[in-house]
Amino acid sequence: MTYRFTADGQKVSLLGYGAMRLATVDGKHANGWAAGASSAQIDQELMNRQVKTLLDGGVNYFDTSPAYCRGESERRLGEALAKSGYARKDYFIATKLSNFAPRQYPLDEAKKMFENSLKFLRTDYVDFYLLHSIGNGGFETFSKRYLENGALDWCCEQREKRIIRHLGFSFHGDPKAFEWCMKNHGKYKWDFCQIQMNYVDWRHAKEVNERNLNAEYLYKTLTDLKIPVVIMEPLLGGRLARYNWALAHELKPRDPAASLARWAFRFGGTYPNVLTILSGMTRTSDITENLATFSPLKPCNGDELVALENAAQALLSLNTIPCNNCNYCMPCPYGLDIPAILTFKNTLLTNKTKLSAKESLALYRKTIPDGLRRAERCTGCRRCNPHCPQQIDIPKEIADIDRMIDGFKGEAYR
Amino acid sequence: MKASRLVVPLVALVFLSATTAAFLGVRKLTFVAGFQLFPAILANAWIVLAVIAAVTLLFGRFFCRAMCPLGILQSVANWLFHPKTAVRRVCTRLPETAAQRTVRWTVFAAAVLCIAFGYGAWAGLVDPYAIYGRVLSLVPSGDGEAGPVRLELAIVAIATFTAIIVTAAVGKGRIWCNWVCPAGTLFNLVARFSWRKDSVIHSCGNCRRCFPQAPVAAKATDDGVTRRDAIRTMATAVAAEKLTDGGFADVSLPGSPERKLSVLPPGAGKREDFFRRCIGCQLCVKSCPAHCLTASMTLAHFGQPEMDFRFGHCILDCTRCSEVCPTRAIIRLTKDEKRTAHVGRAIWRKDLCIRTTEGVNCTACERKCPVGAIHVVENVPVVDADACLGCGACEHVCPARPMPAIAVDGLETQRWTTPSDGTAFIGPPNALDAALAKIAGETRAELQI
Repeated sequence: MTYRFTADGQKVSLLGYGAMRLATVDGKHANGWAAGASSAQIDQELMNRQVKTLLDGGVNYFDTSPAYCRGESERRLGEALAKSGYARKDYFIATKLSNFAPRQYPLDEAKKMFENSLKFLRTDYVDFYLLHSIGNGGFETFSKRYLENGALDWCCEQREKRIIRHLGFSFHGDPKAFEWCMKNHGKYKWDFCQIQMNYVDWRHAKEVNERNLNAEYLYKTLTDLKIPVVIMEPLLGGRLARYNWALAHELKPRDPAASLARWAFRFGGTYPNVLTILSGMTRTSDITENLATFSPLKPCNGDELVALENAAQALLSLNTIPCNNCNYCMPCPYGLDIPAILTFKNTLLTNKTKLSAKESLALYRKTIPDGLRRAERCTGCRRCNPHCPQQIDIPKEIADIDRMIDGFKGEAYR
Repeated sequence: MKASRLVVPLVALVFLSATTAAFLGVRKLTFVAGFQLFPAILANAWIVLAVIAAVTLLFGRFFCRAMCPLGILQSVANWLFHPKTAVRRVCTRLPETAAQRTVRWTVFAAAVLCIAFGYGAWAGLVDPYAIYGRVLSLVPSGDGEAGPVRLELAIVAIATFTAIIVTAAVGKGRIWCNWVCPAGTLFNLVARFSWRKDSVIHSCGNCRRCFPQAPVAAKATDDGVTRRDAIRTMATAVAAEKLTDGGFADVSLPGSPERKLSVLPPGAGKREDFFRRCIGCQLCVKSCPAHCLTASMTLAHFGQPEMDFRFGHCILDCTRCSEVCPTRAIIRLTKDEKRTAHVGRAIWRKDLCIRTTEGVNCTACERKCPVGAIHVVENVPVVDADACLGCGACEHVCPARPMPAIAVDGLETQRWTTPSDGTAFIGPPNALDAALAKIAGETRAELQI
């Protein structure tokens, strides 16, 4: 296992575990796996084994949030870590202040959320504490969540008391929030920052959505200020790991044995200011594969970085929807399975052979078996949009997909 | 061995499998339904009728033994239970008794009157092809999508079908064909003049075993357990499909809104013409890929198709129901005609709309309308009545529960634009229709109703 160091000399594994896509007993993951979300129980037994394997393999960074997996993630991770047989000092826990709903804005609610995190994680301190997804919903929301209510100042107090060991934030959305944090680095002394970084977002995040900031810019800004970077979405929710003919065409000839995921991890690990790369390894096979990739991680050379840039451009040319299946938009008040609907379109686009109208319809019905959860049920209420960290205009995409489905029907029923 | 002993089973196999396949989704075979007697009569398919008449004049009731699916299945059931004496027991022509004559001609007259007065659905209850079609309609569709459950239809279909088959199987022969079936009555009439009598007639010793006896009726209902089981199995299959996932907001199907007039399949034309000609065979319901056609459960139009938008809505480019209709109750539409076919009109209900009840800026109906007939103006979805086709897309996607806030009402007369002269179509009855309508009119006048 390759390790990196924080400013205060803590030794952090370059591969970190993200507890957002925990496996459920029905073999899916609790936050949605490709073909729709699952409502089944999280598979605690499996998770215990997986966490033990990770610790044995040298992974010591575990990231969670009160919001993940319908609120189950912290409790499940706490149990798995407690049962792993490792001492508390052997691993780092990262969790977040996920006060997304307006009724959670008051400071008391934030304190309560933090207390619950400690309780669920069975600990009396948090190694890494993050302001969750700043910039989501605009600067005003950021201000309401952390500044006006004094939550950020309170977090700094906790850091002085050593209950929070490192304070940072995760960033999606409004660049103003990021710039504000950078400007006030002198005051708040960010210990780390979590950003979405991979070979697509490196130079093309702005291309995907002009409200985004390129990861290259974020990384360089943070590096200049000597703030270590934690990478989230290194695989874009699996989009850089699953078969995709554009990526396979660019990358497979260079190293037929290497998985697409391995390329994406190696990209992140190439940059020295990266502290850890988070991966939501749902399946045990993901863990085995990733441990091999990181033990030790082989950085990319210049030639390989060029190849990855080409792969990124090939992927962008497919015009897929940048949905990473994080399920922040869920539950939709009208019952739609939003991630599955968006994933369906991406599957059509990333398939090398073009499916016929009939085949596409069959795939659509298989992806979203319940007719009441399909695209046509969208009311256009737009309540999902503020939650999307990728700033996708979800109702617009859904309307497009529904039109496409109606087109398939017109063609298939001819 | 007589050639007929080979020809009849072979032809029977072809017709039975083709008819079955037509109902189970083989689109290319739906035309065989048009070779059935009542559909051919109702559709005024003179060539088919001439061929059937010729065959009957040559070989007697060949149709009943080799082309009618219900007739074939009775033979099969009888053969399975009585392999050695089957030929005798399925005899399709026998010396008629006065009682038999009375029963069958009463049924026949009743069926004709039903059709004349616009209750084709009732005539369909005794049409052998429609009986078989209704049973096949209970088979789930191949695409995994489900339409509404029609319990009454299932009960009637299975009960009729089982009773007929069981009577044949227990050894009483073709009670149905010789006592009830209106098609059989006609064939019997023509077969008197046939060149070669039915091959079986030569071996018919006038045994009268095919005559109903007291125990038959009891036997026929003895299968109650099986029937109940069959229905129960169906109900569970449908219920299992609607599992909701706890990770999501709960969803439920809306109810069926009350309509002033039911919405008929595009091509139905004038309501009275449609109701007269349709015998409720369910071929259109089974062929509807959007699952928006279903059997009506009203007494007057039992089994005739109507639109139910809970599971789907009519697709503009699709003409499947009008393609397959063997009686031409649904007039054949070209794609162009179908795109302009008005089958109903959407009406918005302010009190049910979630704009009113929840204050949500919902645009589902406006977005979904394929002809742009709905515009949300000042918080009101305005329906352009001239543009609205009544396809049901808006009703289908309306999120209001328990009833959709926008619902389609049927039209008295459907209209569509024919490309040749550009005039809106009003369905003219065909020759037989006109005659039947005349009979009905005169009878009405005579009875002063």
